[in-house]
Amino acid sequence: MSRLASGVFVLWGAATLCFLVLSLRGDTVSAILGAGPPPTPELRARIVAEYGLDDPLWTRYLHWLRSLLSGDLGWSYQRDEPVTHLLASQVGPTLQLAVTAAVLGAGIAVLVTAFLTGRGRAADTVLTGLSVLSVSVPTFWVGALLLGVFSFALPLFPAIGDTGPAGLVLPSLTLAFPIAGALTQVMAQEVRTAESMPFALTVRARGATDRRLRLNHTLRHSLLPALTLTGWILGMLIGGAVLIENVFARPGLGRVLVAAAAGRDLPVVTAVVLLSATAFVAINLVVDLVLPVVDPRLRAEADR
Amino acid sequence: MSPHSRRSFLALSGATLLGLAGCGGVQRLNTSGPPRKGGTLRFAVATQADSWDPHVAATDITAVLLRPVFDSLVSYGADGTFRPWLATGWTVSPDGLAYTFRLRGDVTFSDGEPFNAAAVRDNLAHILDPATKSGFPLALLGPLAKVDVTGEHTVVLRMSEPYSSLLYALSTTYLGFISPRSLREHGKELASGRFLAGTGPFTLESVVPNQEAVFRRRPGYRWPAPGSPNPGESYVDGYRVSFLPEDQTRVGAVGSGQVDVADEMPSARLSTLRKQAGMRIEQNPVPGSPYSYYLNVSRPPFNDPAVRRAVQASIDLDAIVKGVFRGEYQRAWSVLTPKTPGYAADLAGTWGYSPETAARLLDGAGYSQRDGDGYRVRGGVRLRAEFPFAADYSTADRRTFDVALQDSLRKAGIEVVLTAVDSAEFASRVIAGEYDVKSVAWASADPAVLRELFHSKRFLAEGGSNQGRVRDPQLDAWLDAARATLDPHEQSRLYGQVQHRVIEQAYAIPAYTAPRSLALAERVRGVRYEVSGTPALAELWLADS
Repeated sequence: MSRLASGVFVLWGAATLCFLVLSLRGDTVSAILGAGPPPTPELRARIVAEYGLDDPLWTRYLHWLRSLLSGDLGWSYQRDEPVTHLLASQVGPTLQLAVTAAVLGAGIAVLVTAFLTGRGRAADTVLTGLSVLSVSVPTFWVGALLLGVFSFALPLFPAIGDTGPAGLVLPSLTLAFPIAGALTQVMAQEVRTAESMPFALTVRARGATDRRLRLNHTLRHSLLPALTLTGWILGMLIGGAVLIENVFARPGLGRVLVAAAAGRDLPVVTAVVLLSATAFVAINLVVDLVLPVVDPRLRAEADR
Repeated sequence: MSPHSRRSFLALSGATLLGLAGCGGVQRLNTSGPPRKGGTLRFAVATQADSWDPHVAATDITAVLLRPVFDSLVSYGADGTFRPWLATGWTVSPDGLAYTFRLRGDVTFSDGEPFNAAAVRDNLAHILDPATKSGFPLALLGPLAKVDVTGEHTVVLRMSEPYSSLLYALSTTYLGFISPRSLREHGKELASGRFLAGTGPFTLESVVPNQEAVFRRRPGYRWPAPGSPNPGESYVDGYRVSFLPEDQTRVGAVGSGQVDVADEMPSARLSTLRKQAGMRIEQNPVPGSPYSYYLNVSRPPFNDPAVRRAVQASIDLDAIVKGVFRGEYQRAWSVLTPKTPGYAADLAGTWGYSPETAARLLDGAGYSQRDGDGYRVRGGVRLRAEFPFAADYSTADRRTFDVALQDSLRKAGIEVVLTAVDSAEFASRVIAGEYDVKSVAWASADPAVLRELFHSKRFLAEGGSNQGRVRDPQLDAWLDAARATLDPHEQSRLYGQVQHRVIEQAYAIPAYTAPRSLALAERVRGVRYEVSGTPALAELWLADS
C-alpha cells in the first residue's frame, strides 16, 4: 500500500514539475503555433482565449490536473492531434527497441561474465578495459560506426526506419553496448568477490568444477547488483533512444519528447514523462518482488 | 476569359508569350529511352512537416512534399510569368481589385468531389477562418476581402487594395485545394495528414511521424500544370519519403542505394559524393532572401548607422564563405538571391571587407578606446551585440558561419554573444525585440518577401518578419508602390531601390546563397525542378536498375 502511495506521489511530482517548467518560461502561444512567421495579434489573442492562457497559474494547474486525472492527456499543441493518438504510434517502436536492447545487453553481460571472468589477470584487464570503453564511448558515435560499416559499406542491414527485425539489429545493438559493458563490470566484480568467499571453497572441496561453481552458485550473486542497476539501465534506454531514433530515423518516444520539449508542447511532454515515470515505478516494483527470489537472505528477512 | 483579355493581362504583367511549352524550371529531361511506368521512388528529406494541412503549414518542406497532392489555380514559371492550371484563364479589373478566374470543368478531388467555384470559395474561407489558425497561408492572401461564386466554374476574388502578389500566392502549394468534403468532415484533423483529398496526381496514403510518409499515384489524373512533359497519370506507382534528420544517415542512405533521392546534402560532403559511382549531385539556386544577418536598428548599438556600416566592413565574407563551404556556395551581395525576380545584380562588388573603414567608422562613433579584452568601449560601455538563435532551426553550416562572423567582429573590437535557446524562448525574445543580431534565410520566388522583411507595418510582433525592426518611410513608400503596381518593370525598379538602400543603410548583412543540393541515384529519370529548386516529384520515373 505504501509502495502504491509512493508511486502515485512520484507520478504527481513528475507531472507537476513538467507543468511548472514549461509554463513559467517562454511563450506558450508561440509554442502552440510552432515554426514560421510570428502570429498576428488577433491570432495570438484567439489562442490565449482558446487555451485559457490568461487565467491565473493555479487555475490552469488545477484545470490541467483535473483533466489528467480523468484520463484526458489533452491535445498536442504542435501536431494538432490528440496526444493519445500521437503516442499510440510511437510507443511500440520505442518499446521494441528498449526491450531488445535490454535483453541483448543483459544476455551479453551474463555470457561474458559466466565464461570470460576468472581466466587470469590479463583476461580480467582486457574485460575491464572493454567494459569501460563501452560505457564511455558516445552512443551516437557507436551508432554511426555500426551504420557506416554494416549498412552503408556492407549492405547487410537497413539504415532507415522501423522495418521489422532486420531494422532492429543495429539500433538495439548500439543501445545494448553500454548496458552490457556496465553490467559486465559489476557482475564480474561480484563473481570475483563471491569466489573468494568461504562457501566457494566448500563447494570446490565437494569436487565441483570452476564452471559448475560459477553457473550454480556465484553467478547468482552477480545478479543482485545487476538488478539494482535497473534504474540506471532504464535511464540509459530512454536517453539512448533519443539519439538512436535520430541516427536510425526510427519513430519513437525519444524523438517525440525532444521535439515536444523544444516546442514547449506541454501535453505531449507530460504524457511522455508520466509514461516513463510509470515504467520506472513498475520496474522497481517488479525488482522488489524478484530480489527475494534471487537472494534467499532477503526472503528470510521478509519472513521474519 | 477571351484570348484578348488574357493577352492584355500578360502584356500588362510584361510577360513575353513564349508559348506554354516553355516550361517553368530548368529543363533537364533525361532522354535515354521512353519513360517507364512503375516502381516506388524513395526520397530522403532532412526535416518533418510541421503540419500536413497546407493551409496551416509554415514549413517549406510541407509545400515540397504536398505539391503532388494539391494543384493550384495558376502556375508560376521561372521567367516570372503566370500560366493557367486549374484556372483556364483570368481577368483583372482595371483598378486591380477584382480577379475573375474561369476554372476547368473536368477536375475532381481524389474522393470524387467535383472541383468548382464553390470548392475554391470553401478553401479560401477555410484559410480565412480564425479557427484554422492559419499563419503563413493567411498572409499570402493579403488584402483578400471577398470571394464571389458567379457561376459553376467562375469565381471572383475581391481585394480591399491592389495586391500584386496574388497570382504568386495562388501558385503556391499553401493555397492548393482540399476536397470540400475533407474540410467539412475532418476540418480539425487535417494536420495529421489522414484526411487530405486533393486534386493532384498523388494521394497521401499514410504518415508515420518521425519516420515516413507514403504517397500513391492517383489513377485518372489528367490536368498537370503547363510545361509538364507528362499529360496523364504519373509514371511511378508512388513515393516513400523518409525523414532523416542526421546528415550522415542521409548521405549514407543515398550512397548505399537505400534511397533514390536525398535532399539537402551537406556542403562538406559534396566533393566526395560527386566522385561516387551510381549517383549524381544536382544543385539548384533557391529564390528568395539569402542567409543574412539583420541588425536591430531600434536600440543601441545598431541604431547608429555608422556602427552598422562598421559591421558590414568588418566581415571578410569572401574568405569565410570560401573557407566554410569549400568553394561550394557563393557570397551574397543583396538581400535577394540572384535567382529571385527583381534581384539587383548591380550591387555586386559595391560593398565589402575593409578593416580600415570599419576602424574609422567606429572611432567616429565614439568607440575609440579598447578594454582589456580588446573590445571597443564608449563611455565605459563595451560595444556588444546579443545574437540569440533557435537551436532547432539552425544547421551545422549556419553555426559554423555564425562563429566565423563572431570572430571577424571580435577582431574589429565588437563583441557578439551567441546564445542557443529553444524555439519558444526564441519566439518570445524575438517578439519583444530583445536581440541585436538575428539571422534568417527565406525561400520565396516572390520579391515581395522584401516587404515582409523591411516594411514598418511588418514587425515580428504584428505577424510580419521585419527582423531588424526597421522604420524607414522611404522603404515603406517603395514597398507600398511595388505591392500596388501590376507592372513587373516598375516592380523590379522599386525592389532594386529597396535592395540598394538596405545595403547603403546596412540594415542587413547578406551572407551567402546556398543552392539546394540533391543526390540522385542513376535510375532516377525525368528530373525537372520547380522554381523553388526542388524536383518536380510527380514527373520522375525510374529506369530499370
